[in-house]
Amino acid sequence: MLAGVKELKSFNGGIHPPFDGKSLSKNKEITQAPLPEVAYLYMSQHIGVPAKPVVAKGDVVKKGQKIGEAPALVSAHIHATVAGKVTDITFKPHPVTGARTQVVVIQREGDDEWAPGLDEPQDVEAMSPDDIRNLIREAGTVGLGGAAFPTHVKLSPPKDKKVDAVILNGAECEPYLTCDYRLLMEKTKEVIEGLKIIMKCLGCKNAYVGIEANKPDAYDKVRSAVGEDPHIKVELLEVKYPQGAEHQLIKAILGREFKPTQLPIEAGAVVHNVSTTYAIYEAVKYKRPLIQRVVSITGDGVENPNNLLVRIGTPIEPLLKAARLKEDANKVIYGGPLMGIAQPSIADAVTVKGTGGLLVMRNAGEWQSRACIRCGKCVDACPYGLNPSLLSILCESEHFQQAMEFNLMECKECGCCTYVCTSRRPIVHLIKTAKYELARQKARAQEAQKAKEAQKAQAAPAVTATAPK
Amino acid sequence: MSNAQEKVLLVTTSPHIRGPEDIPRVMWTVVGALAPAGLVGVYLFGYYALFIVILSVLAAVLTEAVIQKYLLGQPVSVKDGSAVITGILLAYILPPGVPWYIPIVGAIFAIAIVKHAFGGLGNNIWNPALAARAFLQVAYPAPINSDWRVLKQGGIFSNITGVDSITQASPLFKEFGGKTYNYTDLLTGNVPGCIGETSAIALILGGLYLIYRGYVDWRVPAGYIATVFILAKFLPAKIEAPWANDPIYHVLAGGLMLGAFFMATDMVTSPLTKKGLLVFGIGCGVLTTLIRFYAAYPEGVCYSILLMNTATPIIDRYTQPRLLGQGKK
Amino acid sequence: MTGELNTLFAIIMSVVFVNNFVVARFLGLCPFLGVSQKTESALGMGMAVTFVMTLASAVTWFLYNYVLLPGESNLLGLMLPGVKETGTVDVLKTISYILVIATLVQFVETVMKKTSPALYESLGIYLPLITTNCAVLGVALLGTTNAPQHLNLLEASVQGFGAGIGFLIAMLLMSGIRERLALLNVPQSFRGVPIAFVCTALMALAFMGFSGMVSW
Repeated sequence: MLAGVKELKSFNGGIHPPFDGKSLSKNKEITQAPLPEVAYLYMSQHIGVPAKPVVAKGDVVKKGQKIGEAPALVSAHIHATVAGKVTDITFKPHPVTGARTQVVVIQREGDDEWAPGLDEPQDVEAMSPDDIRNLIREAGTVGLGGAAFPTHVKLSPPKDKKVDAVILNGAECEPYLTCDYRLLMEKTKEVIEGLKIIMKCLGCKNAYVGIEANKPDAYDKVRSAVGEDPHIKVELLEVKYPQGAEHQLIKAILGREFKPTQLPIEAGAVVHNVSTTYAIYEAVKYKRPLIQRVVSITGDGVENPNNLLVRIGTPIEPLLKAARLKEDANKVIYGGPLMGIAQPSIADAVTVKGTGGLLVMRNAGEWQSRACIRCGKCVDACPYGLNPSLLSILCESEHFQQAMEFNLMECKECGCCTYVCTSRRPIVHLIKTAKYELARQKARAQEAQKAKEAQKAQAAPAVTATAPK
Repeated sequence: MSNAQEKVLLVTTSPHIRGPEDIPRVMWTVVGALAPAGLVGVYLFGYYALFIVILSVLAAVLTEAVIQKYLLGQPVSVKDGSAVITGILLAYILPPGVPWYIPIVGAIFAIAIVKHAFGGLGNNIWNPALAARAFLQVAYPAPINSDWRVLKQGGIFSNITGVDSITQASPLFKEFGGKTYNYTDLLTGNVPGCIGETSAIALILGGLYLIYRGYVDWRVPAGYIATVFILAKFLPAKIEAPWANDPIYHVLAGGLMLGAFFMATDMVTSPLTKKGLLVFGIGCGVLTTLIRFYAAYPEGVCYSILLMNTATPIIDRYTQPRLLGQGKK
Repeated sequence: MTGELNTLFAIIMSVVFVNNFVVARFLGLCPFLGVSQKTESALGMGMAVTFVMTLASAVTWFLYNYVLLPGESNLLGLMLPGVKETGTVDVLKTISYILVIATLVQFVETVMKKTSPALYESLGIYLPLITTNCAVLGVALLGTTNAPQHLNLLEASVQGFGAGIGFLIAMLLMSGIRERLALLNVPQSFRGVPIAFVCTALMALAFMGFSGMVSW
C-alpha cells in the first residue's frame, strides 16, 4: 500500500467480474416513467405473511390508499400506486417466488391524486421512535435491496439486543444495477436525512455509510452532505461482490462476524440500503407510502439503458420497449446478474417493491456442467466460509442430511461459487433444489405427525366411550 | 398486454453470468506451461523423446475417446485437454530411451484404470500419470530402470563433450560412483533423467506462470520445496555422495520441480482448501526426503505424491473452511 | 539402550509403513474392505484391532516362550517331561493363538457394547470377525518366530502395536477415499467392492515407495 492511500475496507472471499456493466446506466439521471394504464399489485411483496386485500372489485381508490392490510407483524401493507378503479382481484404467478399469489388490479382513472392525509410534511423533530416506526409500517416500507424484509421489523430490535451502529448500504455491489448510485448522487441530502431518521428511531448514536470505491463521486457527495457530523462516518469499500450483503458490509466496516443464518442485530448493527433509506425519508418526512421506486433498466439487451422512477405494479413491457429492447434479447432478470430472477415472459411481468433493476441480456445461453475438478475456487470465493464444492456434490447425489452437516442451510445463494466454477456447475441451483426438497420432506413429516396425532386423538375418546361398558 | 409478439425467454436460476475460467482453458494453459520443459527434453535426448511424448499423448487421448464413446456412452471430452496433460506428464516421467510400448501401456493404465474406473475427470483419487509410472515400475522393471538414453552430444551450453558411456537414472543415483552435477547443469537441464524433469528453469518458469494465472496455489510448491530444502539440510543422510546433505542439489535434481509445480498441484487429486494444500505440500516434501534418504529408490517424488493423494480425502476432512462467524466473536 | 530404541523404531517403521499389513502384506483385507465405508467406524475398527494386536502379541509371546518352545523354560514340561524335548510348537501354535485372540476379541466386544453401543452397532459382524482376521494371527506369528531373529517381549508387543497402527492408518486413508467415492459417479460396474479393490491396489503401489526404508 502506498503511503497516504487509505486501505479499502473489505471481507474474505467474493468475486469481481471484469465487466461490471455499471457504465451502461451510471450516468443516466433518474426520470419519471410513464404511469401504467393498469397496475397489478401483488399482496405479497415482502418476506412474511401476505397482506389481505381491503378493497373489493369495483372500488375506486386514490393514490397511496391502503388496499392490502398486513395481518401480522412480519408483513407489510400494500398501497394503490395509481388512482383508479379496482377491476379485478385474482391470482397470478409471482415474478420472484413463482408461487400463485393474490393480485389487486387497478385500472388508472382520473387525476393522479393522493388519498387524503397523505403527502403532508411532518415534524420529524417532535416524533418519538414509536411514531417513526408506525409511519414506516403504515407506508408499507420494505427492504428495497431485493430481499424485501419489512423495514419496521428491522427497526424494532428485541429488547435484549443493543444496536450500536446503523449502516447505510451504498455498496450496490451487484453488477449492472445503478439505482442506489443515482439516488446517492441526486438525493444525497434526503438519503442522509433518512439515515438520521433511522438513527433517531433506534436511539443509536453511530452511523456508517459504506460506498464501493468505484463510486468516488458518490463518496464525495455524501461526504459533503454529512459535513462535520462526527457521528456519521463515510467509508470507502473494496469493489467486490457481495460487498453490499449485510454480513460482508458489517465485516468490512465494523470487523464483526456473525453466522450467515443470524441477523445483523447479533453483531449490534442494522443495515439499510440507499433506496430503503430514501423510502423511509419519504414515509416519515412526507407521509408518502411506498408506491414507487427507482429501477435501473439496463443490460446489453436494451439500446437505451436508463434509471426510471417506476410505480410499483407497472408492467415491464412498456418500460423495456421505451428502453428499446433489442431483437435478440432473450433473458430478462429482476435484479442483478448474480442473484436476480429470470422471468419467463415479458408480457406478464410487473414490477414489485423489491425490483431494483431489470437486466436484459441478449444471446444468453446455458452452460455445460461437468464433474467437479476440485480447483477450490468456490471455497476461496465463498464469502460465508462454506465448502460449495462438497455441498454441490452432496446435493447432486441427494445426500441432503450430510449436506446439512456441512452447513447447507447457511448458504445465502449469493452465486460467487457458481460464477467462478471451472466446471460450470450450477452450484446455487443444486443448493436451492436441496433446500426445497428438505422443506418438502419436513412438511410431509409434519403432516404425517399431525395425522398420527389426529388418529390418536380419535382413538382416545373411543376408548373412553367404550370404557363404561 | 398480450398483443405483442411473445419473445421466447431463457429461464435459469441465478447467477446469470459466469467467470472466464473453464476446464479447457485451464487444461490447455497447463499444456502450454509444460511445453518448455519438454522442448529441453527433446533438445537433450533427441527426437526419440519427442516420439515417446507423442505416443503417450495419442494413447491417452485415444483411450479416453474409446472408453467414453464405446464403454460408457458418454460424450467424448478429449478436447478439454485433460487426457493430453496426462499423456504429457506420463511421458515426462519416463526415461528417454524406453521401448515404444511402455508409454502406450502406461497411458492406457492411467486413463482406463486410474481415471475412468473412478468416473472420469474430477473423480480420480490418484494422479493418473504418477500411478501409471508406479505401475510401470512394477510391471516393466527392466526397461524402466535400465533404458536410459545417453546424453546427446553436447549439452545446451555444449560444456560437456563426448558421452557418458554408462549413464544413470538420475542425478540422485545413490550408490557411490554416481556422477555429481553442478547447479548450472541442474538448472538448465544438462543432466540425465526423465524426459521432462531435467530442466529446473523451464519447469519453474512454467510453474510460476500457472501460479500467476491462479491455476496453481503457491502453497503446494512452496511447502513442498521448502520442506525438502530444510529436511535435506538437517536429516542424517544414508547416501554416500558429495551432495548427500546439499539442499540446493536436492531441490534442483530429479523430478522435484516437475512434481512440485505440475503433479502435486493437480487440482483433482490435491486438497480443496488452502490449509489442506499447505499440509499436502509439506507432506509431499517430508515423504520425498525420507524416500530419497532411506528407501530403495533414488527418487521419491512419484511415490510421495501418490501417498499424499491417498491422504487427500482425509486431509480434506480435517481442513474444512471455517463458517463465517463461527468460533470467533 | 540407543541400540534397543533404534530397533524398536525400525520395527514400528517397518510394520506401519514399509511392510504395512494391509497394503504391503495384504492381510486383513476382509475388515479393511468391510468396515471402511465410514471414517468413524473405520477408526473404531482400527482401534479395536490395534488393541487386540498389541495384547495378542504380548500374550502369544508368553505362550510361545513358556509353553510352545522346547527347553527348560517350558512350563508344560513340568508335568509332561517329554514336552521339554519336543516342544508343542507343531501341535498347539495356531490353535492356542486363535484361542487367545478369540478371548481378547470377546473382551473388546463386551467392553465396546457397554461403552459405545453406536460404534458396536456400526461395526456389526466385523467386530467378532477380528478373531479370524488374518492380520491379527499374522502379527502374533511374526512376533513369535526365530527368523530373522528372536524377538523379546517388548519388541513383540511394539510390533503388535505398530501393526495395529499401520492397520488403523490404512483404514483411515481407505475410509476417506471411499466416503468421497460414495458421492461420485463411479461407473456402475465398478461401484462398491470392485473400485475398493482398485483403490487397495493403487494404495499398495503408492506404499511401495517405502520399500527398503528399514531393513527389518
